[in-house]
Amino acid sequence: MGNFFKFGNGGAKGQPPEYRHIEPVAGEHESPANEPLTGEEASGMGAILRLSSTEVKLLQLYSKLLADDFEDADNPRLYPEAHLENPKLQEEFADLTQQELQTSRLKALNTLTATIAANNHQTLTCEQLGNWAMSLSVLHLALGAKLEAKGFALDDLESVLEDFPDEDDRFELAAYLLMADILEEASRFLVSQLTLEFNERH
Amino acid sequence: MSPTPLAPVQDPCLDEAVDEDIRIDRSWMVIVWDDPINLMSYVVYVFMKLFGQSLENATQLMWQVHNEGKAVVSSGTREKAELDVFRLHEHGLWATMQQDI
Repeated sequence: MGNFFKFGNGGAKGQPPEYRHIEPVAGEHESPANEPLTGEEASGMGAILRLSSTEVKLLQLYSKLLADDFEDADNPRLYPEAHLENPKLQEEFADLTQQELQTSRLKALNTLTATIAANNHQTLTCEQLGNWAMSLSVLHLALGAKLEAKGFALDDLESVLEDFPDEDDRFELAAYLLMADILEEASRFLVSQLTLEFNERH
Repeated sequence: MSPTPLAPVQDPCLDEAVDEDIRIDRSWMVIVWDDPINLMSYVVYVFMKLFGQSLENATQLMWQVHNEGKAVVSSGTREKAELDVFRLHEHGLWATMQQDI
């Protein structure tokens, strides 16, 4: 584990991103940019996803490039062991779940690729947004593993870029940070939605 | 008259090698491990979605993983634990399972 790459920040240290990509379908989002959406704001109508044409191209490119990783059962980060101390049980677990894991992830990835809007302005149901989050998370993991999961202090971008002198790596870095940005927003939106549902149940 | 204790029944289908390692009287714990890549907000979302937790509980659990390196997120039968681990893996979290000591 990288020692300056903290759990929970997705690789980007500093302030959480503002809502730039996602807004609730119903009503205007009135909370300050860095506040979670209220349950009412997130109420059951899904979300509008706004991406620039460059962001769409980047996501399309890496969805394609990383699709093989989704099926690579030898990738320990995407297919971690369930039983650390019992190889026989682990083998059974892998036999039982690997195919289903691949199928489930590819289904979620298909949702993502099918709903990347050409007009950069897409309305998603909460279920579709959940599939987006799942796919982005796995794409983000795959790319994070390739980039060796370093921590990035975005307020010091120059020193971050020094670690990636190669042009291709910088491209991957951009995609990685974009995924983290959208995933952060999607997660906060979905958390608001689940909080509303939880409060209604209790 | 007191009832005669029943002798344990040997299930011929049980794999002896596996049986040595599994105590059927102990439940299984599902553990989520510290991860450098996953986002805090995403981990909270997954805990809420999979385990029906409140925002407060899910957030507390996420911090426990973050600060202590791991946390037990569920427990139960082997089948339940395997399903929970599968769903956590499906969402990109690093989870393992082991029997209670």
